Amino acid sequence: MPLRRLTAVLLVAMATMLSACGINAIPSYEEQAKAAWAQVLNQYQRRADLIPNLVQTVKAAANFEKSTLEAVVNARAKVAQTQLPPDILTNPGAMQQFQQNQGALTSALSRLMVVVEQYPDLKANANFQTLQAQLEGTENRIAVARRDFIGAVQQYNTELRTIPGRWWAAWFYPDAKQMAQFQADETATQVPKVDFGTSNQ
Amino acid sequence: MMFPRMTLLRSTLALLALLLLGAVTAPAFAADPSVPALTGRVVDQAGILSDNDESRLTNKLRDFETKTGIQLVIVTLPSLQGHPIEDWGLTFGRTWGIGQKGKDNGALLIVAPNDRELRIEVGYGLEGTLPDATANAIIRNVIVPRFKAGDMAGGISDGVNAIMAALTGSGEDFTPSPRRAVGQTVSQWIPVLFVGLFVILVMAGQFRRGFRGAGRYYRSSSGGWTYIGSGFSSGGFGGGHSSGGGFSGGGGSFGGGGSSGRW
Repeated sequence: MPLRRLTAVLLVAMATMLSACGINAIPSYEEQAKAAWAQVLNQYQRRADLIPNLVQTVKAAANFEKSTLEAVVNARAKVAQTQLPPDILTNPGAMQQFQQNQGALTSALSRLMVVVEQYPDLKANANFQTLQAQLEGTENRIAVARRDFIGAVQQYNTELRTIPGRWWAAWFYPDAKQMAQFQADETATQVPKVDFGTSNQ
Repeated sequence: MMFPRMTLLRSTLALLALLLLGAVTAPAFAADPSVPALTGRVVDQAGILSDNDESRLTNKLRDFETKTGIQLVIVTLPSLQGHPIEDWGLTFGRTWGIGQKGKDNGALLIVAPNDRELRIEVGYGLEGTLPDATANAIIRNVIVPRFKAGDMAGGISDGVNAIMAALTGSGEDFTPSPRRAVGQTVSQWIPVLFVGLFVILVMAGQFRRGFRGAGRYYRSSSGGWTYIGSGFSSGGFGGGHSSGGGFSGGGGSFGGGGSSGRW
């Protein structure tokens, strides 16, 4: 029966077309966003792992400003203590909490790096230079991972809200939820202020 | 079956047209306009290298890729235009796709002589052999002293040597790696070819039996098929590996590894 064959041809063409025009977009964008999130966590973890070493090295420098060092230790402890809920990607409150904690550590660390400028011996220390390079590299990777995550979430959320993604979501992925987006990193844009006039003791 | 056959056919066609419409509006890849063309392994936008230096460096980098599969690229910039040098490094690395796809074994040396900044940008796959601290040590101890003395070409050349030494000195196996990109592309095409062949065969069978009534349906379905074909090639397989005389990136990826410095 020719008509039946024709329908078969059309169905094959349609199946190919369905995948070409976005029926798989929602799950694949979701996976991309999850992978980007894993990378964000990975890089933050890398930073947290560097800190004990950094603190030890800086402590060894004579008379290093205690409050700066304590701020770093406390901020890192807070990051380590906070349990991430499993639904963090779709939970804006938890996401904001996560951001705040990591942001506090970022600013504590950048303050530390500014204060270090007053300790020429420490700056010349090979061990410290290595740590500084690792920390700078990690901060840069965090920035990249955050940017990638923001892009991936934006793509996923846009797909969920626009046609035809919206139709696919309604028909095939009713559980798909908008993901929580990172806010612009406020702490990163604040340059830590150190008053060199008064802190020189 | 719920619908009479003609209705099914017609609604299938309608859906097909709808899908075509959706495919046409697929998002286009936005290119960054500020990225210069990858004219070779040495992109001397700032004009600080002599022709002689440039060809010597190019040969060195080509030999290194032949030997190790690692792509290294040198970029000099007249101005950072107010952007952090890290952004330039990442954008170049990703836009050009330096390094082999899947291996991500590319690295860039970026020098901005007027801003007095430089950076070694390291692809994902080389972060283990060229960690940030090593890149930093190369910048600090090898390149910056030469730059401070005003010897730009010497600093770049010594820096490249040091990068190569770091990349090959790890005791790993650096036998020439086969170029996978071409094979991958072919294997990615196989399902497409298969489905295409199937459709052609079925349609050829229809024509042989002298089925004329639905000729226009054939045209529309084959038009749809042709469209899919072009959509695939621009979406999935663009920016592939060039095997000609020119140089192009292999599709490697970057995640912000490396180190920056000033002089």
